[in-house]
Amino acid sequence: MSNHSRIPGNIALQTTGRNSPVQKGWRQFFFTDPRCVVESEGGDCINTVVETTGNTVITFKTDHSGGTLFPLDGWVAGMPLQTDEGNIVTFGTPFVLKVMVELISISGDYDNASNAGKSNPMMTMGICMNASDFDASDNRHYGYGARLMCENTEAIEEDVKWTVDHLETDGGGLDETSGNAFSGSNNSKLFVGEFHVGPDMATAASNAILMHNEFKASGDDYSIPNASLAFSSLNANQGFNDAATTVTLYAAIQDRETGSISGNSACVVTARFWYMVEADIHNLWGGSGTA
Amino acid sequence: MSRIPGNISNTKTGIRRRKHFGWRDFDPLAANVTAEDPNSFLASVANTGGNIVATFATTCANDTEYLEDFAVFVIPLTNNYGEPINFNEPFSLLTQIEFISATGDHSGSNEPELAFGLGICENATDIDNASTNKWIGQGLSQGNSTNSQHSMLQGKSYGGSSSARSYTSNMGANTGLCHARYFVGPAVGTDGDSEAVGVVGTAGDYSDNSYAKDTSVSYDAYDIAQDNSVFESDGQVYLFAWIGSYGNTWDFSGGGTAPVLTCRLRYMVQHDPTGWGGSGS
Repeated sequence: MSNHSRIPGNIALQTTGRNSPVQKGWRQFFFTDPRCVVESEGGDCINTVVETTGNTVITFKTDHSGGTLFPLDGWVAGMPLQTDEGNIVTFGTPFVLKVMVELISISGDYDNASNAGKSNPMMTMGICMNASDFDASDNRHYGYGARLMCENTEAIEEDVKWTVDHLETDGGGLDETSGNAFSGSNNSKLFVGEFHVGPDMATAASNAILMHNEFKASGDDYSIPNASLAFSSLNANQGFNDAATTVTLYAAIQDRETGSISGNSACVVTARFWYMVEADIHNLWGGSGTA
Repeated sequence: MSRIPGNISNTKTGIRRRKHFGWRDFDPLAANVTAEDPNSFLASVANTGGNIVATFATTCANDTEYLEDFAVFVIPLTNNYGEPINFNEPFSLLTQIEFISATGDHSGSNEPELAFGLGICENATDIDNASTNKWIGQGLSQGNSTNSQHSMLQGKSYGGSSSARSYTSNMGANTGLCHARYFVGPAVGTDGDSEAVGVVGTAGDYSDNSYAKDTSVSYDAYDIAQDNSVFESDGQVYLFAWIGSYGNTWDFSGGGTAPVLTCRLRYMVQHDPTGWGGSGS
C-alpha cells in the first residue's frame, strides 16, 4: 500500500522526510533580508543601504562627526547561518563557509587619508556570537573584507587593502588588521575568504582560522595582485567558545574617516556580498577515535 | 502546477535532489575508486563498518616522504547533489582524518611510520606523475606509536614537475583527529596564478576529550607559491586518499609483523556549478 493518499480526511504522508533544499551554492547576502537583524547605529555615518537592483548600494552621509576603524561599529546586518535546507548552524556544528565581497563602483567624495573630510569606506563579512548587539565589546567575531584606499576620482579597486576584524587580543574591545595597499591601478575586486571553526570550543588558541586572498574580476582572469595567500587565527580570548550558540553571519559597512565631514557630495559604494555554506547538523563532528 | 491529465505538471525544472548531507565517508573500495600503489606500500585494504583497515606490505624498499608516492585511492569529487566539481567553479572543502588504531611493528627504525590523509588533484590516475599531475594534500603521520603522537603531513606539487612536503614536529599524545580546510581558486586552471591554492590543518584529541586542540602547533598552513604548480585543469577535481609510510624501508619477511592501520577519512563539501561570477560590474 502506498504511503501517499489523496482520500479526503486521510493523512497524506506517514513520514516527515527531509527538508527540501532551498539554497544551493552561492547565496547573496542582503542587508535588507527580512531574516537579518540590522544595527545601523542610527545611521551615524551611513545614510541608506538600498538593494532593489540586486546590488548593495551604500550611500554615506554628507555630514557626520566621525566614524571608527571597526566595521562592527557601522551599519551591520546579521542573520543565523543556515544550511541549504534552512537548518540553523551552531558553533558546535562542523561547517564550511566561503565568503566573497565583490566591489563594483564608487562615486561622490571619498579619500583614503584620515581627517581628509571625506568618506573612507570599508566593508566586511564574517561570523559572530552575538545575534543583535554586534558592536558589543565582548562580541567574539571574525570578519574579512575590503578597506578602500581610492581617492578623488580613482576606481574603487585602486590601492585597496584587505581587512580582518576581530576582538582585541585581550578580548576587550574591537580591533582590526589590514594588509598593505596593493600598488598600481586595476587591483583586486574580489575578496575571497574561507573560515574554519572548531571543534575545540574550550577556546584553545587558533580554534578559528581564516584563509583569504584577493582577486581581480572575471574579465581580468581573476589574477592576483597580492603576493600571498594569507592565514590568520584567533587567540583564546578572541575565538568562539560556546558550541550551543547559533553562528550569526554578518556583513558590515563603516566609514573609517574618524574626523568630521560636512558639505560633501555623498559617497556611494556599490558592492555584492556572497557566501556558501555546508554543515552536518545531524552527525556533528564525530571523531570518537574508536572503531 | 496542474494535475489535469495531459497537462504539464510542473513548469519549472526545480532543484536537483540532495544525495549527500554533511560528512561523507571516504570508501577506498567504492565502485568509482581508482586505486594505485606503484611502490607497493600496502598488502591489502578493507572497509570494515566504515573504518578503513590497511594492512602494510611485508616488505617495502621505497623510502619516500611524499604522499603522492603512497598507495592512493582516487574518486571524482562531486557536490551534495551528485554533480561533478570542476576546478573553474567555487567549492569549499573540509576533511577529517581520524586515527583509530594500529597493530604490528611501526614507527621504529626499519619500520613504516604510518601516514594517511586526503588531498585533491587534477589527474584521475597516475597520481605520482609530477609532470602531469598537480595536487595538494594533508593528513597525519604517526611519529611516536607509544602515545599515539602524530605529526601533520602535507604535500603539494612543486616546481612544475616536482613535489614538496611539510612536516610538523610530533604533537602531543592522542593527537589523532585532524582537520584540513582547502582554499582553491578562482585563479586556477586557464586563469592559474600562484597563491590561489592552499590548505590549513589543525589537530587534537577525540570527542571524549572535548576535541582538545593540540597547542604545540597553532595551525599548519601550506600554499602553492609558484604559477607552474597551480592546478592547470579547468575540469574535474579528484579527491584522493593516501596511505603509506613517511620514510623508512622495512622487511618483515625474516621476523616482525607488518602493521595494520585502522582509520576513518571523511570530507564535507559545498559547491556552485554555475561558477564564480565576480564580474565586478
